[in-house]
Amino acid sequence: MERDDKLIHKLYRDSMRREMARPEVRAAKKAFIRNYFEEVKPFYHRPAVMVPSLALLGVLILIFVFPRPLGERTMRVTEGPPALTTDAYLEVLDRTVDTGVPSVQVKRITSHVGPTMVYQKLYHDVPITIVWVFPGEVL
Amino acid sequence: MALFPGKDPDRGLVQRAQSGDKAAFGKLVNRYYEMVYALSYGVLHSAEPARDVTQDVFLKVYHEIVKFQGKSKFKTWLYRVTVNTALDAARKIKPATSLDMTDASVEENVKPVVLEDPSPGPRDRASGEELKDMLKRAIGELSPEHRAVLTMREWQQMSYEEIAETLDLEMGTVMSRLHYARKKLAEILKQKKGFEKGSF
Repeated sequence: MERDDKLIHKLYRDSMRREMARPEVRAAKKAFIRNYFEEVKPFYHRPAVMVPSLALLGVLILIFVFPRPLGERTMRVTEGPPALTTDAYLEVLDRTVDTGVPSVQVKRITSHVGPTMVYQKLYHDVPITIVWVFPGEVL
Repeated sequence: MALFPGKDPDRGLVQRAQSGDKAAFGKLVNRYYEMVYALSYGVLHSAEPARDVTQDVFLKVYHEIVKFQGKSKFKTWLYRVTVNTALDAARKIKPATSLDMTDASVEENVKPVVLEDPSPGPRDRASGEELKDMLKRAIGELSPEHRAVLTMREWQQMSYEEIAETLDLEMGTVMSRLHYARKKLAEILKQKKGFEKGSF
């Protein structure tokens, strides 16, 4: 009889093991826990709210933290005829200052550093920011 | 006497669940789902009712957990609720089920049977599926009460003492039911084997 008992034991365990291995059992468990006992997240954790919020935050960061790209209006100014000159006046601290630079006809400007170049320098002990925009060719 | 003596490993989660922490109870469900399902399936012998009973058990326990005083371990309590719920469900499915067959006099009339080893050999490997079906049908012919004892012993590997405490039975009754269930299974399998000669 002991032999039979062992055999029954083996057959029974095999049968139960097959049942317990069915994917439907795992799926039912998962669904049951999710439906009844999963912690309800605050509404702002839901993807439908979270994703647009993060997108909006990203846009705000781009607008306020990073410099804005040059607008089309600026581009139009620099897209003028090739007769660009340095014959200009700088307005610094509400004063008009003669640059003292003789007029030079510039026929072509190219850039090795990209479409814009920004740097600061002292002009008559006044720090100024110089922005170069190269709307045409960029090498 | 408590099953599995020592500190209850579920105490922390149970206390949190008692204070209304739904997620803590979810962890208990995650821990014991398979155990409850296996016992329900063992009793009911059918997947869909077993799944329903499993969910009923956990929902029942969740609503009653405030009343749980920790006199026994949570697992023991869960076992009891599961067996009772599964047996109730089985009675609803098959109300005429009786335990009369467990009488010693009847057991004595069951002749000892010897099964052959069903390990698949080169000749009868194909009969493995048939054997599985036979066993399934044979288990189906047992009463839910016998199936409960069989599952607790053969699958959950509980001691006679643990089964007796869970089912609130005498240990002798547990042993008797188990003995009968095994003998009956062997007999049914032998009869079926004889009926389908050569399929073993």
